[in-house]
Amino acid sequence: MKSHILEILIPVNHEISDELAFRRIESVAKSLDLPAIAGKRLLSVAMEMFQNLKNHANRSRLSLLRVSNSKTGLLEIASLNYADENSAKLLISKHDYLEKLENRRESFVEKVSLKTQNLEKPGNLGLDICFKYAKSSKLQTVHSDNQLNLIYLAFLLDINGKSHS
Amino acid sequence: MENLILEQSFKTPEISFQAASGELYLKGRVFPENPEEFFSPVIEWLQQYIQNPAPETRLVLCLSYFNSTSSEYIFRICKMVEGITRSGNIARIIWQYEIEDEDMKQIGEDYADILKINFELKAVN
Repeated sequence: MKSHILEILIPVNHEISDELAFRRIESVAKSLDLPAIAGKRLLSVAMEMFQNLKNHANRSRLSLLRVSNSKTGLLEIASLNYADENSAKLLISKHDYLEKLENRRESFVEKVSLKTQNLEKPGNLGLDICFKYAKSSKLQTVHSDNQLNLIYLAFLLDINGKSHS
Repeated sequence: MENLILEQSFKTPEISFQAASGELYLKGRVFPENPEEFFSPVIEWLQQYIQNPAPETRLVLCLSYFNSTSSEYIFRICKMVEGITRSGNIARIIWQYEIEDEDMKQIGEDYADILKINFELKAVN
């Protein structure tokens, strides 16, 4: 696998388009010369994390999305951002719940189906997609100033297409 | 009833919904900046169409990428087409995926398991 690192710095107020992020992530996926399935998963996970940052990270601070690869055959897609106390708690609780799920693919489809039946407001399934395709994840939060938490969230993808479930 | 035609953009699919022939076609990437705004006219068109559908409806989905929010709208479109069969009309869904895209194939299989409709998976180059 070729070596490459992509860093997308998301500015204060989050004025960066989904299209630009997509094009940059897609270009990295191509330059890494990944198997087709890994390239598509990299795109899916990185885009969900990017959109998660745009929607939930504190808008008065910079956020960072980083894609890197290692010689172990794993791709790491990580984000670093500030979030308020409630957003951090919500993320931790959702992360813990999804991490313990046995069949993440089945759970995702059931959620989509249920949300459609109940005509719930769409959204909030980005983390589910990340878990669906990732081999493992890491989450660390550190309490910072002004009631904000610094959040590091990473998903590791297997380039051969192996996922948790 | 008028047809619904939307041109493809980088983030949104080509949509060609033909009321008289029942040919409903979506092709491309789906991650609009504002999904609700993009899908509202599509859902509204379908709500009107299912009141008086063509004798045969064929929904063809040929998607290379969609984000989590759009997946809910895509599933909702499939459910609406499934509803056509409950009133005795013929409807089917054709899920096209790139031949190497195992995940897109898997999503199609998952939808096929849930939806009670003639659902065909088709690999394309």
